[in-house]
Amino acid sequence: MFYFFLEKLIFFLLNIIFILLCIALFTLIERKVMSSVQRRKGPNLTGIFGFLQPFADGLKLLIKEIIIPSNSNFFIFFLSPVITFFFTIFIFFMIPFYPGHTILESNFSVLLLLAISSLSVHGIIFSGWSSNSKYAFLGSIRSASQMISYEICISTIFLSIVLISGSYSLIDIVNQQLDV
Amino acid sequence: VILILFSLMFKYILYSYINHISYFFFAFGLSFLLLGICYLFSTSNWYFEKITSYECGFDPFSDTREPFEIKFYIIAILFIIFDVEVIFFFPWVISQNQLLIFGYYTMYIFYLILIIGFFYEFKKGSLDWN
Repeated sequence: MFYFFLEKLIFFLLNIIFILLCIALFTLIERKVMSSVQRRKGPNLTGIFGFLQPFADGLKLLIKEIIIPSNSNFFIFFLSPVITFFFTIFIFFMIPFYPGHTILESNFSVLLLLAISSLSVHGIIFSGWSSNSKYAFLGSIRSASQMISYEICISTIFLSIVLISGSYSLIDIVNQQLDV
Repeated sequence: VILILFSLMFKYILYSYINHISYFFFAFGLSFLLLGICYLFSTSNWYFEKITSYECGFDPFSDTREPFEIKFYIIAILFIIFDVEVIFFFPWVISQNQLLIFGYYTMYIFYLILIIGFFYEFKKGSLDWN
């Protein structure tokens, strides 16, 4: 049992490092594309082409002060960013990167993905409500209504993909595209 | 006997979903770890002005825990109903090659009911914002 969990933990840590790197570089790509659309240079000072910019931002966020407003609900306010990050990371587990390198191999990963992505609304709702600030509350309501309304569209799109591939497993869906 | 059966069932469920459960806890631990690192490295220097909730520069007049527009709630409920109805389509879609003609057209009846419901909501005016 212990070795089982140790093996899982090492595999998890190796994968999570590269997933976080992937997220960091995706944010850099987004900023680069947005800047080139608006005829700016974008982040280009830290490292070559600004490759170290996301890491610099992350380090800056780590030493930021934690402020908990006096009239907020401490527990929910503290927990809501954890919940949001947890659900976002959990969705990444089901994505097949390479044969045999899926972290969470499930036969129902499409359903699991839909369920978890709909649960991630709660992080935003909790953070807006528990901060007890009107601006944050209104912003969280707007954001949540947007996420809820996109939920139906994305599940309908998943429906057509499931119809074509005939399987809930994301690995099977990828394997079906081998001959395409 | 029931207790043994229940424990066996629980053990079976636990062993078949051990991956999901372990990664659930790993992910939760990771997200707590990042917040904990932030808690360790950050300096704390708060005073009264900083920890009051943000309200455009002045002290907040009232609490936020007061009633808000029910329209947000109605819209959310409408979307959640449609979400549940989309979920009903998933088993139908996965079993396309095993369905006979009755099973195939039952979903069309369901779809018809759904459309009737949508037009009912539309006529009732629950989609109007004003």
